[in-house]
Parts: sequence; structure tokens; C-alpha cells
Amino acid sequence: MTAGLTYYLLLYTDFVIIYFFCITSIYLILNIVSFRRIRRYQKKVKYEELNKIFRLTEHKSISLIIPAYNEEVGIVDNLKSLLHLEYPNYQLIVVNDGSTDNTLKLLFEKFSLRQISFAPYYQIKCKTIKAVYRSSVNPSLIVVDKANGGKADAINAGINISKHSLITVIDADSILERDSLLKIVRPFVEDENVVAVGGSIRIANGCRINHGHIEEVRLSKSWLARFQVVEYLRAFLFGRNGFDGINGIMIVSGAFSCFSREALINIGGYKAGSIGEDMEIIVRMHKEFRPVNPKSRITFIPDPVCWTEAPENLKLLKKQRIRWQKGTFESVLLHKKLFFNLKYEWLGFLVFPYFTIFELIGPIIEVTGYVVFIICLSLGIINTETAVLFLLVAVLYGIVLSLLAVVLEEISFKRYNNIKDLIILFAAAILENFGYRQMTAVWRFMGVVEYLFGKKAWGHMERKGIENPAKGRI
Amino acid sequence: LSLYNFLIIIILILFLLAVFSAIAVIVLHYLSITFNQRTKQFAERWEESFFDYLSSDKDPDDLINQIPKSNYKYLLEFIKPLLINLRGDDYIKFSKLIYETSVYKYLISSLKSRSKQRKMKAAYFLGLSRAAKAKDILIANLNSKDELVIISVSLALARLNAVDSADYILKVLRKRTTISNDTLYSILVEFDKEICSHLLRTFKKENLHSKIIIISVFRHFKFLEAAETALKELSSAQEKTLIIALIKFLSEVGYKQSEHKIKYFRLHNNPDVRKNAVVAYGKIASPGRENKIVELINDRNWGVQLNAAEALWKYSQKGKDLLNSIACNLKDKKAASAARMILSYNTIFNK
Repeated sequence: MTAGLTYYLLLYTDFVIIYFFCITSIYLILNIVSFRRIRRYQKKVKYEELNKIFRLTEHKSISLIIPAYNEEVGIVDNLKSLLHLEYPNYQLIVVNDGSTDNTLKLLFEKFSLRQISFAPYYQIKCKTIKAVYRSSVNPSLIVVDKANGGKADAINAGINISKHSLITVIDADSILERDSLLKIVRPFVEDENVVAVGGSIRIANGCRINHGHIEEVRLSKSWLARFQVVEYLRAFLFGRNGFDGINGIMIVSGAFSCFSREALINIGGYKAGSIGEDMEIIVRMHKEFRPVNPKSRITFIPDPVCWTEAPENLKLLKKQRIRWQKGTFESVLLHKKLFFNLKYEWLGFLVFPYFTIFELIGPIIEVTGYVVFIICLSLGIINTETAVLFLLVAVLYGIVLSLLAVVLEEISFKRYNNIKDLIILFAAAILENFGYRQMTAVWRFMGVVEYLFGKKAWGHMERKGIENPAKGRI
Repeated sequence: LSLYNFLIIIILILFLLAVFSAIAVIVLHYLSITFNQRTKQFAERWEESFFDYLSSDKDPDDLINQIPKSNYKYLLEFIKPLLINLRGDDYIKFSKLIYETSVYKYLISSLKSRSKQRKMKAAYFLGLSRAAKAKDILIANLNSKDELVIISVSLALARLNAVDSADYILKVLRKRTTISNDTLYSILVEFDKEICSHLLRTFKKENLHSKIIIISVFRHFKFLEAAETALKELSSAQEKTLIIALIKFLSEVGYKQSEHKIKYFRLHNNPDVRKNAVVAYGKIASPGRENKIVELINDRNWGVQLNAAEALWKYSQKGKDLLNSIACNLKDKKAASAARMILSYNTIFNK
């Protein structure tokens, strides 16, 4: 083996170590910021009566848009629960995006839909709306039937039908807490410059669900779902919350997000055909609005307001992660102008580069790092003892981060009341570092490769359905 | 320090942190469970006595003196939903349990403590029970350095209807640039309607931001007495948020004298002003002025177009007829679309 190759392998190993210390430092800062922010948030809301909004003359009314493509499993129960949310004035718009299953038929049967002559004002481009229906039993429920155009296009159609000043977008399989709308509206009241708010998403697998309502928060029996619970806690309690402190939120979850209707229309709505539409629209909002109004803000509420189904098999999880990675790539590439652009303050200077370097290129460095590490070890280029210690640091650090997320959950929202579940959560926080994390890194790596050389479509996610009344749990 | 030793130290720190996190979660979980259990036990032990008190003429002290001071935190948790939901005599009797007993002293000492959380909790319960005698100490807490404490104390004072503190609340909160107009407005509407007369007296002296909030409060209480002052203010107003607040207020109270002025603002260069002015004008204009609204259905801003269409529909039959004809007019597609959308919502959806 040539000395040159050894030199480059060592150089790359050093680079990976530096990369590791950079990312751990960022996570550490995010942790500290998030602890402070969540504690403060908790204090703020502890004695707040959310329903005070009912008294106000000028409460903000909401149009809730639910894009639905082949959602026959669970959509009826979900809609029933969505019709009973605690909020003074909201409408529900289901956009059937050319489903090929029985979604529309089920809606017809269960909600007594009646076709109405509705003329939408096309403020945003979307595929032609075939028909608009209204429920005879629940007048606030509107169903829009349109040709298949993807999630973004379906949401745009919903925006064209909507009439309220705030638009909330939720996935058809998402379960909202009864007071979720009251909570998500709060940032719009607290700050006039807020244009979008994201909610904290939790995993519903394993929870006891009755008619679209979470009755008891429990953990799934599947370890894959348990690992994702830890991942979501980390992502929402630390990641988003930390970035929110510097107005640097780059993504709000498509499963539950709320926007000013005016802001959505002014930027032309969601980008049709986008893979990561939830990230793309947020980055575009920053890009468009901040030069005009530097105070404009995209924020996040840490309350667990929305519960969603997590894939419980490797095939679906892989599909999801590849899609997420492609979405990140797409958004970063489309809005590369923000990279180290000081005009966008911390977002341009820190958050966007963070997403580019650590979220986008990260999996490449991580996966190639493993490979180079193994080569170096097997060739005896690096000291085995030091290598093992370094690996131990990396694994322990991952464990500590996940455990801190569980601590934060227990300090703040305490949704897992069963001590057995907490212990399992601990075990998941430890075990996910041995295989699961590496596996997702490989999938993300594949996402980058697929985006560069393969298909760029959204793909389709199969739904198992998060509610199974017969069993109560899945 | 060699790399080897450095890594060993890091591993030790991380290991200890992991163990500490695990212990922390168990302890926190235990504390939370214990608190919930004790609150539940408290309710089971005392519920009957509370409802006995409610149906009798007993002195509140008789009941509270039986409860150990260490149980006050559970007492407050128990009483909170009752104070929120009860009305009339039942509410008064329950609130006396706070301000006519040793619970009051407990809350006042919390308000004097250094803990922000205790201060906020005390302010909340003093406000919820309308403990008027706590007014001075609450006002003193408006000087707190913490924004959350100030908001809690302001809300408590509003609930006590301490009208004379309103100016000071406005002054203190306005200094905080992070507090939004909506937050301030939602605090001020917690006062009774008499706050309006007080705010009207000081209105002229207030700065722009305070004026915007005060006008929103007038609108909330539909305080017609402020209409003349508001109209004068509208004549000289330059800032769009103030203009919008004034227009909304004047139309809400139906102040006919403002028709001409509002008509003028419907052509303002700011789309937000036009959007609000056209709705206000629709509401307040005399019959036969629909053509002034129709002009705006061709506006370059979609929001103004929709609001103009809505205004035509809402306030007169002639407006409805005009809207129908605009919807059928294929020459101006945008205006027709706006008209059709509003017609769709109002004819089909309201049936």
C-alpha cells in the first residue's frame, strides 16, 4: 500500500473526527437552548386559559385542509374527531387527490355528501377541481374532488376553496389533540409577524385510540416504532425548538402546520410536484418574506398536538427516509441563495449551512466514515485502542442526546405515564445507537444518490391505519 | 493530556451524564405521580366538605383552617376548575376561600418570593378569585424584570378590574417590544367595560401603539362614546394599523358620521387599509352607495376583491344583485371569480 493512500485515509479519518466534534457541539448548544426555552414555555402556558380566545371579537378563524390520497383506512374516524375540535370558528376541507381506493365513496356514505355548485377563486395554480361536496350532517365539512396532482397540488386546491385567515394543513392519518388549534394559533396572537407555525408531532403507534382520539399514550410493541419515538422526541424537543430560538426553523412538519393564508397566497402556495413540500415552502417563506420584513417569523410550539402513524416495517421506513432526504436535497438546492447569506441573519449564517453540511452531506460523510474507519482498522493504519474509544464516545454521545430528550419530555409534557414505557423508552434510546442509526444513515445516503441519479418523485406510502378499535392497540 | 486520556475523560463524563439522565427521569416521574396522587387524594378527602360549605352559610375560614398549609398547593389545583367554571353566588363563595382565608397570606408570600413560577401562580389565583385587596402588591410586581411575571400580574389586575392601573399596565407592557398588540389587547379586555371611559380620558396623550390597542378595546366593548374621538383621530392618522383599528371600530359601532371618511380610505394605497375600509364602508354606507364598493372588486389585490364582494353580499339587496351580475360578466375574469366565490359561500353554504 502506498504511503500516499495511507496519508489520505488518515486525513479523511481526521476530517470525520472534526466533523463529529462540530456536530456534537451544535447539538450541545441546541440542547442548552431548548432546555431553557421549554422551561420558559411551560411556565408561560401553565396558567393560561386557552379558551379565552372564544371571548375575543377578533379571534382568528381557521380553514383546516386535509389532502387525501388513498386514505380509506382511518379517514372516517379521523374526520369525526376533527369535527369536534375545540375552536370557535373553523372549516374542514378534505381534498381527495384522485384516490384510486374507496376514500371518496366512504366519505359519501358516512358524511352524507351533497354536490354543490362552487366556483373557486383560483389564487394559486392547481389541477382542475372536478367537484365540491358538502356534508349534510356536518355543514363545516367540505370535500373537494380533483385530479391527482400530488400532495402540494391538493393543498393548493384546498387553499383556493378556503375562506379563513389561517390555513392549517394536516395529514389524513394525523390525530389532533382537542385543543391543538387553540395552541397553534397562540403564536399568531403573540406576534403579528408570524407567518407560519409548526406543531410537535408524536408517534401514535401503541397508543389507545378511540374514535380518532388518543385515550392513553403508550408505546408500540415494535422496536422500530419505539426508536422512532425517541427520534421524534429528539427532533422536536431539541432540534426545532433550538433553531426556533434564532428564527431558524427550516421545516415544519407536513403532518400539522398552520399558515397565514395571505402569506401562502402571496408566495404562490406549495410548489406542485415537490418531494419535500413541507420544507420547501418554509425555506421559500424565509427567502421571500425576510428581505421585506426582517421581523417575519416562522415558529414552533413544543406541545405534543398531533399524533401520527410511524412505519413499523423496514421497507416503508426506508422509503420514508429516502423521500425525506430527497426533500431536503431539493429544498437546499432550490434555495441555495441562502447559504452563508448574512441578509438572512442566523438562518443564512448558521441554520442553512447546518442543513447543507450536516443534514444533506452528513449521511455521505457518516457512511464513508464508517467504511474508511473499517479499512484503516483492518490495515492497522490507526491504533485499535483509540479507535474503539472514539467509537465508544460517539455511541455514548448518541445515547446521552436521546436520554436528554426523554428527560426533557418528562420535565415538560409528561405524556408517558406508565413507568414501564419510560424504561422501554430508555432502552430504545440506548439500543437505537447499535444498528438503527447506522441503518438510517445508509438510507439517507441512498436518498442523496437517488436524488442525484435516480427518480425524483414523491412515491407512495402505504397506511396500516393507526386505529384498530377491535384491539385498541396496534 | 494524550488523546487516549482525553477520550477516557469524555467517556466518563458521558457515562455519568447518561446515568444522571436516567435517575432524573425516574425521580421526575415519581414526583409527578406523587403530586397527581396527592391532588386526587385531596379531592377525595375534601370534596364533600367543599360542597357542604357551598350549600351552607359557613365561614370560609372554618373550612380552610382544617386543611394543613402543606396541602394548599393541592387545594389550589382542586379549586382552579371550579373558579374558572362557576358563576354567580357559587363563584363568590369559592373565591372567598382564597381571599378571606389564610390561603390569601400564602399567595401573597408567594408573590413576594423570588421564584418567578411562584409569583405567576400567585398572581393567577389572586386574579381568578378577584382578590381586590391584593391590588397594590400586584401593581408593585409590574416592575418585575421578567416579562412572564408582568403579563401574569397584568392579567390578574385586569380580572380585579383595577381600572386605575390600566395606564400603568399599558406603559409597562409597551416598553417590552416582544409583547404583541394582540397579547395586550387580550389583557385589557379582561377588564370590565368601564375601562373604556378611563382609556378614553387618556387616549389623546397615548402613543401610537397604545392608541391602536385602546381602539381595539373600544371595539371589543362596542363603546360608542369613543366614536367622535376616533373619527377625529382618523382624520389625522397616517399609520396603517391605527387607520385599520379606527375604521373597524367606527363601523362596528355603526357611527354614521364616519361614512365619508371611511369612503376615502377605501382608495388608500395600502391594500390592508383598502381591505378593511371596503368592508367597513359596506356596513356603514347609506343605501344606494353600492357602486363605490363595486369599484374595488376590480382591485389589483385579491384580498380587497374578495372583501369588496363580501361587502356587496352582506349589506343590501342591491349589493347582492350587483354581485350576481358581476359573477356573470365574463369580461373581467378576476372580478367574476371573486364574486362567484363569495356567492358560493354565502348562497350554498348558508342554506
